[in-house]
Amino acid sequence: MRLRTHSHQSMSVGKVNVTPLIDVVMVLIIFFLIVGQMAAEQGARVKLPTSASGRSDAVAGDRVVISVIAATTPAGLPAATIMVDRTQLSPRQLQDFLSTKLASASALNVIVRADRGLDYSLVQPTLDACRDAGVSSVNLIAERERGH
Amino acid sequence: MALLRRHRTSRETYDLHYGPNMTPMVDVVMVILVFFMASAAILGPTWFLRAALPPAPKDAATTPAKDDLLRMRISIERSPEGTVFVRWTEAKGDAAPQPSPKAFATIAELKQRLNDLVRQHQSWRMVVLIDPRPNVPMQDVVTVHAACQALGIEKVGLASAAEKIGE
Repeated sequence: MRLRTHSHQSMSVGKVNVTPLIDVVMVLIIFFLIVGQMAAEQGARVKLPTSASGRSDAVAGDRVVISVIAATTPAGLPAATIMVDRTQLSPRQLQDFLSTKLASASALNVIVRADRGLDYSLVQPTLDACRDAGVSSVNLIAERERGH
Repeated sequence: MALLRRHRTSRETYDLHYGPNMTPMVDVVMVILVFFMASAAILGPTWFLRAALPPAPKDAATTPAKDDLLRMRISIERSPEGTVFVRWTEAKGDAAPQPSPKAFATIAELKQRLNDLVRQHQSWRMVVLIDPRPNVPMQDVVTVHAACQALGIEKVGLASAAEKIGE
């Protein structure tokens, strides 16, 4: 009678193949990084105004996303913070930044994400900085109302 | 002759019959799909509202318009109690601007008037300049802008601060 011994092949059947697991984990990491980056750049702290209509198509070409975030002064008065690429800018700095961008780009799409609760007087310096830099139009971003 | 026959392993036999293993690819594709859905949910669906930024006219009062476009200037105001109301002027071509019949109209009344004007004229022959007062929240500016957008009025602009000072 011949005794059965475990061959090399039968041993390998019991091993766990970790390749798909590593694939999935790598993809998870990459997507967490991308989504996190996008959320930070787009200014997740901005409560967007809601709208029932607008253009759904994304703007093509070079784009600059300006977030106008609600803030308060040390005295407790309402204020606005202008953020571009996670950098805080004054209206004057924003104007210089846009002028430089316009000099190098043939067309520049400026997207303004302004908080819905901000008074217009706090958003106007941003729009005037765009205007003074030579930007002829901006795209205001609004959250879609449910059902639209 | 039999010695020349190559012996196939079980793995080679499996590959020959069933092709490459698709499981890792399906795993990755499913994860990509789920994360695109998740990222779309996090960022939320949005609308783009294009607003022109016309420079402040230096001699608008003395230079008549050379086209026959219907120009509408919508002023958004907010009472101390927080009620938002609008008033507007309409001017076709070089005609003098005509004020709205009601001094304190609601946004619903403005929408009705815009609707009537779009029916009389065409939306592409209308130019709207939104002029919010400093204490008006952005939500109301966007609401008025969206009302124009919903009627197909593409030429919508926001008044500059310099223009307000010059009023």
